Amino acid sequence: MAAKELSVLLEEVLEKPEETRVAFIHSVCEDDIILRNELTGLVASYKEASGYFDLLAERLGMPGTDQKTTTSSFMSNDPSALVGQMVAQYRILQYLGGGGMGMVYKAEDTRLGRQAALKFLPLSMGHDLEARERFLREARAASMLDHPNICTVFEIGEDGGRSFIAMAYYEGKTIEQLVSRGPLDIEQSVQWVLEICRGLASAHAKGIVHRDIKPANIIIPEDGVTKILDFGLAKSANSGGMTREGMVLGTAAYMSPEQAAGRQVDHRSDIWSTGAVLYEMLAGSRPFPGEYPQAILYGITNLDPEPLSALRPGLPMQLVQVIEKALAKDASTRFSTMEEMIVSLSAVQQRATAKSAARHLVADPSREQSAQTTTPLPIEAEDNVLHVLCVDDEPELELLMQQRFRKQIRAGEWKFVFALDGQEALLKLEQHPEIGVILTDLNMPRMDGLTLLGKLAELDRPTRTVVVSAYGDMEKIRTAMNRGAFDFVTKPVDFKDLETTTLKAANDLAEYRRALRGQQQAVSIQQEMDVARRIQDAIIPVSFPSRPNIEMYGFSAPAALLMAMGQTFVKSFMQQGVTPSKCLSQLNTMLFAEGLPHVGLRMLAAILDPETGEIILANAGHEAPYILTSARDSGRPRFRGRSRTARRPHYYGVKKGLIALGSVD
Amino acid sequence: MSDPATVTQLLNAAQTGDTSAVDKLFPLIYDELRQRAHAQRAGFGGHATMNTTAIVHEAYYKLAQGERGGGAAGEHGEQGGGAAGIKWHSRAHFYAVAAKAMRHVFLDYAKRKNRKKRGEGAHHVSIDESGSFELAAIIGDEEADDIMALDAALIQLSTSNERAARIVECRFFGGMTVEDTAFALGLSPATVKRDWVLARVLLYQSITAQN
Repeated sequence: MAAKELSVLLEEVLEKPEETRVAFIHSVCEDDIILRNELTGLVASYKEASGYFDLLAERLGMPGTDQKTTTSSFMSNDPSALVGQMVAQYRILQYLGGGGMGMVYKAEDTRLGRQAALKFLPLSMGHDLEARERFLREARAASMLDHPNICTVFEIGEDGGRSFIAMAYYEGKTIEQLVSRGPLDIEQSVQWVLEICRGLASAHAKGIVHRDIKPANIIIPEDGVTKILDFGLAKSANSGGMTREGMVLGTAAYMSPEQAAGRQVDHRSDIWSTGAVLYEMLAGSRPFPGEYPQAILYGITNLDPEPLSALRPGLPMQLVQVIEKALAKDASTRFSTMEEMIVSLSAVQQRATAKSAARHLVADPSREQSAQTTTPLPIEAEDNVLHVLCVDDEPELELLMQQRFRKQIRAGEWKFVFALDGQEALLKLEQHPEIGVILTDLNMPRMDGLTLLGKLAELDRPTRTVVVSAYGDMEKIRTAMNRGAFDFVTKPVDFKDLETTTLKAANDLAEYRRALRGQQQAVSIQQEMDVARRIQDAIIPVSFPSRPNIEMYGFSAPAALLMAMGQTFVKSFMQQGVTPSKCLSQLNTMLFAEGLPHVGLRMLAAILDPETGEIILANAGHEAPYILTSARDSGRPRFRGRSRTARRPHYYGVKKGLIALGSVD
Repeated sequence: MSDPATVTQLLNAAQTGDTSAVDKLFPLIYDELRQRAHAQRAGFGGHATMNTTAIVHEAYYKLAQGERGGGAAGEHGEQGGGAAGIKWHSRAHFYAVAAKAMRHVFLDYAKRKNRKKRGEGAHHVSIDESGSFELAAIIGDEEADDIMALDAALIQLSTSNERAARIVECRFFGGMTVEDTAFALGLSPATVKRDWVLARVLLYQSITAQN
C-alpha cells in the first residue's frame, strides 16, 4: 500500500518548515526519483488543494473546510465518552459543558496532582496549519494575561490530533447559572461586573479583545473572585462572518451591534457585552431576547432594550445610566475605555457600600465607637464654605437644589452633599467632616428624619439640623424640634425661606464654633469627647430611672463637651486639694466669664453628703437631664454661678452616696 | 416519509454484517436528508449556506426518535430514549451511510442542474422531486460542475485507494470530524488525518487534470 506510506511521508514533509522541505524530501526518498517527484508534486499542490476544497465546501455550505466552520462531532451527542480517558497527562474526570467553541471537561493533572479544566478545541482546527497557527498564537497571547480576574491558562497541548487548552479549574457557578434563578443582588452584581471590567481592562491594555463576554464565560468561584473564561478563543472563532447559522444562540445575545454586523470590533465591543451581561444580572432577562439569532441580532442593531428601571424598580439611576452608556449602539458614544466604565461603576458601588456601611455602623455600636475614638472629628471646616448635607428620599431634590442654589455653588460659597435617607446621611457625615448644616426630610425609607436626629445627637458633633417637611407633619416637626432640630421649613419648599433658614443655622453654628474656639482647652475637650460620651452613656441611663413627666435632654454635643470639660476641670481642681464645692464654683466662674452665648454649664452631678451638706464628688454637664427628687435642703454647698438668669441653684439628694443634681442656670 | 420502525432494525442488521440491510437503509436516509436539506434551504430564504452537519444530525435524531414514538416505547429508566438507545456502533454506521447518501444528494442536484442547463430539465421535475429541484436552483452552474468533477475524481480515487475515498465521503459530505470518521470506519484518527490530507491533494490533481 504505497498510498499509506505516501500519506505518512506527505504528513512528515508538511510538518517541516517550508524552506527545509525540499532537502527533507531528498533525504527521505534517497534515489527513488518517482517517489520524490510524486511527493514534490503533492507538496506543491497541497496549498492549492486545501484552498480548492475550502472554497468548494464554503460554496456548498459543507463543513469540510476545516477552519471555516465549527464541525460538531456526532460524538458530542455523548460527551461523557471521553470521561475516564487520558489526554496527555490529564485524566478526564467529568464533562462540564460545551459550547460553540468545544467541550470542557474537569480533569486531573496526573503529573502535578492538581485539578484542571480541559477545553478541547474544535477538531477541525487541528488540520489547517495556518488556522492552527493563528489559533495557537492567540491562545498563547491569552495565556500571558496574568490578572486575578482572568482564568489562568496552564498550557496549550495536543494529544491524538486534538488540541486542547488546560486552564485552572474553579469550583463555582457561572453567572449564567446564577442568573437562571432570577435577578441578582444589585451590590453583588456591581462588584462582580467591576471585577470583570478590571480583568478586561488589563487584557485591553495588551491589545487583546475578548469578543465573547457572556454570562456562561464568567465564573464566580467559591472564593468569590470573578474569573473570565475563554480568553482570546473567541477571536479566532469569530474571525469570519457572524451570521452563520451554526452560531450558538447564547452568544448572539451578547454581541455588540458592530460585531453583529460583522464589522471590525475593538475593545468597545467588550464594553457592550459587559453592559449586556450586567443588564441581564439585574433584570433577570437578556436585553435583546429572541428565539432566533436573526431576531436577536435585529434587536441588537435596531431596538432599545426594555428599560431596566421598569424591570427592576429601585435601581440607582447612576447604575442604569452606566448600563445605558455601555449598551450604546454607536461604539463612539459608549465608554471609550474600560477604565472609564470602572470609574462610573465604582461611583455607583461607593454609593451602595456607603449605604450598607451606614447600616452596619448603626447596627454595630462598637464599631461606631472605635471609629470615633480613632478619628476625632474636626470641630470646624477650615474654609469659609458652607457645607450642607441634604437628606431626602426624592433623588430629584439633588438637581433642584443645585439649580436653585447654583449662584452660591458657582461662587464656591455653598457646597452640597446629598443622601437619600438617614443611614446614608450618617455615612456622608463621616466622610465629610466639614458638613455643618443638615437639611433633612422626616419621612424617608430605612431611617427617617426623627431617628436621624437622635443619631446626630449621639455623634457628638456640632451641626445644625433644619427639618424640611410637609406642614401636615407638624406633630413630627415638633418632636424633631424636641430632639434638637435647629429650625424647620415646610414643604412645598419656599427656597428663599430655605436659604434664610440655612444661613441662620450656619451663623448659629459658626457662633457656637467661635465660642468653642475661644476656650483654650478646646483641644483637650475634643480629646475628651469620647470619654465624656461614655460617661454620659454610663451615668444617665443607669443611675437615673426615667420619669415619664420629665423631658430628657443631655444627649447633645454641647452637653457632652461640657460634661467633658466639667469632668476634666473638676478632677484637676480636686487633685489640687480644692473642695468640690469650691471647684464647681470656680468652674462656673471660668466658663461663664467667657460668656458662652448659647450654652452654659447648667447641670451638676455630685455626691452630696446630706449629714454634712458637703459635696464629696462633683461632676458637671449642661442641661439637667432630669430632676431626680426634690429633697429637703439638707445642705448648702456653696458655689456661685454668674449665669445670665442668675437663678438660685437647687440641690437634690437624700443621703450620703446618692447623686444629687442641681441647676445653676 | 421513511418508515422509522425499520431504521433501527436495519441499522442493527447492518451491524451484524447484513449487507442487504445497508442497501435498504440507504434510500431511507437519503430521502430524509433530501427533505431536510430542502427544508433548511427554504428556511434560509436563499440565505448564504446550509449546514450539512446539522442536516445529518437532525436526520439521525428524526429517524431514531421516530422509532421510539412508533410503538416499542422502551423503559424510560434506560438511557432515556430512542436515539440514546441505539448502539454506539450503529450510530457511527448511520453517519457513514448518511455521508454516502449526502454525496448522492449533492450529485443528484448537480446532475439535475446540468440537465436544466442543457434545457432538458423542466419536464423531468415531478412533484415528488420539487424539493430537490428548488435546492438545485440554488446551486450555481459552477458548483454543479465542481460536484460532478469531484464525484468523478472520487470514483477514480476509490479504485486506487478505497479507504481514502471513504474518508473524503465522511469528512466532506457527511461533515464528520476526524474522530467520528475514524470511529465509523474503524481506523485510527492519525490515519484519517493523513489520508484526508493526501486524498484532497490527489483529488485536486485529478480534478485539474480533468479540465
